[in-house]
Amino acid sequence: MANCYNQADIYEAAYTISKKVDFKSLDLEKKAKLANAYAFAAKDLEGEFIKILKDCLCDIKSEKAIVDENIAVNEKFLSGNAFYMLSKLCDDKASEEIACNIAKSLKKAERSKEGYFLTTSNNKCLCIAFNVLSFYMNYETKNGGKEQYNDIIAQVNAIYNDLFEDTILELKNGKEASLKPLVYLAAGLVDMLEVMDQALYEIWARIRAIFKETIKAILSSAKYTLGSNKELDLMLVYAIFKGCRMNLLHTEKYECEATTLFDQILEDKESISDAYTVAAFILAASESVKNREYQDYGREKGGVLWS
Amino acid sequence: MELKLVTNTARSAVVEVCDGGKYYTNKEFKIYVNGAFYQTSNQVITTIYDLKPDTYYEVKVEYEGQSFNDISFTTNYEFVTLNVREFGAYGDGVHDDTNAIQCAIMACPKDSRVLVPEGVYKISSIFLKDNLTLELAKGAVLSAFTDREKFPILPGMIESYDEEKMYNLGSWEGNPLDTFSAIVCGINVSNVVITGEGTIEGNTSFENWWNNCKIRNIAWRPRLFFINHCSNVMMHGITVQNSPSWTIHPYFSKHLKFIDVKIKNPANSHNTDGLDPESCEDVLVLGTYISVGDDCIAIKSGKIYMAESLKTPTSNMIVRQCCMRDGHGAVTVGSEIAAGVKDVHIKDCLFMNTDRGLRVKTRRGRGKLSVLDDISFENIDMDNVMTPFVVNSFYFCDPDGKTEYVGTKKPLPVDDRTPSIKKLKFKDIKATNCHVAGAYICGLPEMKIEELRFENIDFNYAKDAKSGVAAMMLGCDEASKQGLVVSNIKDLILKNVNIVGNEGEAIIATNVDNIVRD
Repeated sequence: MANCYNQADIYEAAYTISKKVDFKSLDLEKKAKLANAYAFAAKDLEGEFIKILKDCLCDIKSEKAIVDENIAVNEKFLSGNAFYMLSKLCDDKASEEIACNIAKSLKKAERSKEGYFLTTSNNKCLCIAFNVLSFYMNYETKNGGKEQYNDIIAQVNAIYNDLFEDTILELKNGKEASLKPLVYLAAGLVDMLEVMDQALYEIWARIRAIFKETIKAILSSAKYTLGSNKELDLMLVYAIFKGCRMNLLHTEKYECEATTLFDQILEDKESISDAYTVAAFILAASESVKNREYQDYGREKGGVLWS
Repeated sequence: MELKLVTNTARSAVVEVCDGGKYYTNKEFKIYVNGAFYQTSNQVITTIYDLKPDTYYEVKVEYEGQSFNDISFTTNYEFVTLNVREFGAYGDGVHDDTNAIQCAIMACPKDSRVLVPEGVYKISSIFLKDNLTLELAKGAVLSAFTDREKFPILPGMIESYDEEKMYNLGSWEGNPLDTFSAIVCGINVSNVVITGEGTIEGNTSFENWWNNCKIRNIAWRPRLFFINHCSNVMMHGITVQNSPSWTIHPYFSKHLKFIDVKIKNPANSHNTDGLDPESCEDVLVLGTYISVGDDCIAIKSGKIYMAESLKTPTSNMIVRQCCMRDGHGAVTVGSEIAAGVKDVHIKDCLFMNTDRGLRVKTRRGRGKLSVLDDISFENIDMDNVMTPFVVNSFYFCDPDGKTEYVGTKKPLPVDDRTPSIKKLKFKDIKATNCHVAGAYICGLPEMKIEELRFENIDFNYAKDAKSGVAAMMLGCDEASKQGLVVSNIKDLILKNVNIVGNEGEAIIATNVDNIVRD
């Protein structure tokens, strides 16, 4: 059953929370995460968020890391998604060009010996799916000719084979820190699925399978961890809401898990103040207002599943 | 000359006049039914309509003034006729008659027919049911709306509640994707006959479904006729035309017959293949005329996901006494053939003005289940076909189609992604007025075609031969009047192959292990 959050209330909450951060004072990683979230809010919640997104990207685009294609830090890639969104919403070619320029750095990004991207500090992390691969997929679909889909799925498989099982095991054993890479993995995978072309369905199906496995594993392994960290709870809410909307998850089985968490957070939303949690709240809020019932969304929004 | 009964229903019979002709008989002939003149015909496969149920008939043919062996049969029993007009259909070309016709179909008992009499019936999507005969009378047109909002959607995949299985309904280019329901659609139905002299009219134009057709808009374009997991289905006599996408698309279905069907789409329409059996078994295409904007017949078995999920090749298929013209390929195998194609035989056919006669389209990445085997072409006349035989193992389709992996002519390691081609046989073929090449055959260097046999083949070329690209692959340049260009084959057998009027060497063979010539 689809949830029934009121769009005006959610917008008001997201807008109020967005005002709690001073964007200009943040480092690039936080800016990129916020810009990515504002991009979804601009699309789904609209109102002031389009202006907020424009202002943020105006600030970000002059950052040295964004301009210099030789700098391949993770943070710039997530902002690439925001530039793409602005381009779409405002028919702004310049933003698309910036996104394409950001994509040039993908070739320079450090990889593990297994072949997948490392974090800015050269560590292995499942969160790379959210921070880098979602943009890589976005770029390949929109401007890259989709020729690197095989590289993307090879990276997803490599990350999965290398890190997934151990991280789940750690979470089951009570290591709270293991929840973060998993929720960002789930969010990254669902973001990838949203922007990819299904012509190579076997790739789409593989990512979908890992996404589902991730959500199931989190829900079954993190019973005592969920509810203690708003940022992570909200990222999980976002991933589940979006997964239900895209028919990747059974809405009737999974949505209640997300709404329970989201309702708890809405009751205490005033306590949200740090940039990461604000970004996560805005993402979850944006997804919460969408109708996840298949036919309604498909008929009214011009696409069955996708934005 | 020999007269044969092909099949009969309660109201019609199909006869075959065997005089050595292909699609058309060598001479006109007259048909007599119970001694009375019925009609003159020049088609090898001819249908006799307006018969009565459960009635004994004798049919005689007069050919060049001589009577030949009579055939006799009793038409099938019929219980009732459900005339769609009695169910409220207007047939005036204005009212939406979808519900009235659907009501008649759902109410139809066994051994009965739903009759659509003369008139134009506007419909969106109608669905077949088990044990149904749907007859479109002469002058009856099922005329489709073209508004997206009127069409239901067939979801590509619906997950089971226990999350263990998937239920696949829609299909687009080999993948389980959301697709608008076909104009006439069957899901899990058996024992269906669609017959008559009427028409299913798709009404497609560049103002509607063919506009921006490469972009999904809500869902992918509908087929004109789609059957999914059906069995014992016969389409007979009718005309199907102006389809939104592939015209007739049987999908994971078996025991299918397409007899004396006329399939017509404009030559410039997008992806309007004529008949595309995908992962089907036991398919007969007989006496059918196909003129379309893409491949006349395209034999398929899905892309990797469906192939690995259900492992169902298309097999046991016969195409006989058909006329194909104006398409990109007369009979194509591919490109969505990840579960393989085997035991397919095309014979006694006429190909005219198509870009290619046989067209095999495959590529690295189709997978190890993609085995093409025992495919033959026999006793076929081709006229004005650009390149009669094309086997392309480097087809640059899909998002990654132009990558080094797909396009390189260097051998790559054989792995789970490598497709294979085993035995192809071409016999008794006359290809006149060729343009680009007689044959352009490319196997993969790492997985050569096992056996390619040409026997009793005559190629000649048009005086004003056009130049063109024989195969859609990297490195295949525009050419004209080439002979046989073959590469990456284990055994190439050439018996009585006559190439007249080509320019350059008659046979250019590269990386062929063994050539046998008489």
